[in-house]
Amino acid sequence: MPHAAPPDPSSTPIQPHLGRSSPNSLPHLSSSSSSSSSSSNAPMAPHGALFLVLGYLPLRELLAFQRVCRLLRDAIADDALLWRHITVEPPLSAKLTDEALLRITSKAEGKLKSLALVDCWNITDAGLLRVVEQNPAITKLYVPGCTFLTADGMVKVVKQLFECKGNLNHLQLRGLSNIRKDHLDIFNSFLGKNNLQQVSQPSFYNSRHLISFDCDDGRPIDVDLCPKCRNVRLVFDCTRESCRTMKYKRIECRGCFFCIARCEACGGCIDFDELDEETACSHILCLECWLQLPKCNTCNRPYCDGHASSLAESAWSSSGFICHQCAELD
Amino acid sequence: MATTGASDGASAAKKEGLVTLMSGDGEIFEVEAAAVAALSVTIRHAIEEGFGDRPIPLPIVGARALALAVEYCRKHHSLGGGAGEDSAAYDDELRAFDHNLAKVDRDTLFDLIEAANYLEIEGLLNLMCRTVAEMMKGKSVEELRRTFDVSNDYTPEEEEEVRREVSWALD
Repeated sequence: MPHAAPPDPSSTPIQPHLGRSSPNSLPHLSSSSSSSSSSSNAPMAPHGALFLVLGYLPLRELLAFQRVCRLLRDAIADDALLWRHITVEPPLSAKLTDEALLRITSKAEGKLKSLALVDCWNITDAGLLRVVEQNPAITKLYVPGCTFLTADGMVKVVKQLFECKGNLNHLQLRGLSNIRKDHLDIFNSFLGKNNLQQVSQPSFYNSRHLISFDCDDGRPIDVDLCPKCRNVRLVFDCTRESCRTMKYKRIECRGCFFCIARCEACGGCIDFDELDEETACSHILCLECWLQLPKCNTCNRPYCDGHASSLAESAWSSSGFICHQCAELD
Repeated sequence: MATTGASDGASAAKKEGLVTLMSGDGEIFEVEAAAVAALSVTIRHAIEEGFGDRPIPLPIVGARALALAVEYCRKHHSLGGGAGEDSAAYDDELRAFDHNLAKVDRDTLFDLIEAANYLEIEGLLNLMCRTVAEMMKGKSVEELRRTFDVSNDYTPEEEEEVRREVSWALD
């Protein structure tokens, strides 16, 4: 679960929370906790357990909690550890401005470790640069879908982190505009990796497509040079073992989403000859997966797994299902 | 591995491999030392320090929370070999057990969080804190106050100030 301050399982998450909350809050903690569950909370001070939950809250809830009462506000403001890993995801992303970003990152007091901005299209190069100037310790910087950022701007950001002896080791850039091979080379050199990622473990369409930005697949940079079109994009390997092990095939069907048609279900490459089998959701499937899936009773087209699971209960009967298009025609 | 090795043969009546815990409200629990010591750092240390056959006092843990925490330790010790939540050995039965355990009411959740924190049972603390965090999702400030019984102690000026600070996200 991706969140603002995911508790680091390797550190000891147990005691420090209580220990860290401001001393003036401790009397409340002990008074509410020493009384057993049967007694009602006195004048409605926050229960001690709530302070232990703070480290598990995503950003929106952490911000909302600040508004609940003074004790919670102080506990959140005084605890820089809560702000070391910041994730901004939709629906918050569209609201995030440079100023707001600077404000929340400053709470880490210069010790921000990871920053994930997913689809934050208001963030500018200058805004992000200011954040990294104040937080040289960032090791993970994810900006997928931040469409206002530019490749040149990101070079400055990464250079800044490199120059202050930072230890940036993970970068996610998909969706960055105008990124070219020379940018990618610069990022790779700053991250201290030569073209190792080309031969690192394969990256599959399936797992990458249902993307969670925090999927840590060991690749330092998410994008790569597509061997087909020479654009810098997410590049997928074939899920078919046979394609990958045969050397010539591996190159042939490794490529970005636009160059190689991929089966929605298995992530394998698809021969264009196979493409005549239609689906009810316009996703493409390889023949093998197509044959296995249940089909619409009327038009004999299947849904991909993702769409099948979101299909309304009512569409299903004991004898199968009717796809939405056929249902509309009825 | 910690066991009740400190019994010195004094109390022959003491059953092998058991440890006695005393909740804050004075209830006595006799539990398998191996199971609780594997999951609770606090109890492991207490056993190592040689509480032996004396009951280990757990002043801030109520009997109900302690019973549930012990149940959690037993289950996870027997099924998961004491492995944490992220372990690959985590199987469906444990997940179902955790899922059911997390269905308790709010006050019990709170008690369990404090008990897990005191007993240092990391998996239980994570489970319960995530459950409470899930309860908060998408709630407005007023709903949060109501759900968790917290009064608003801000002056109007303070409230306006903190509202402005987070208005980009919440308004």
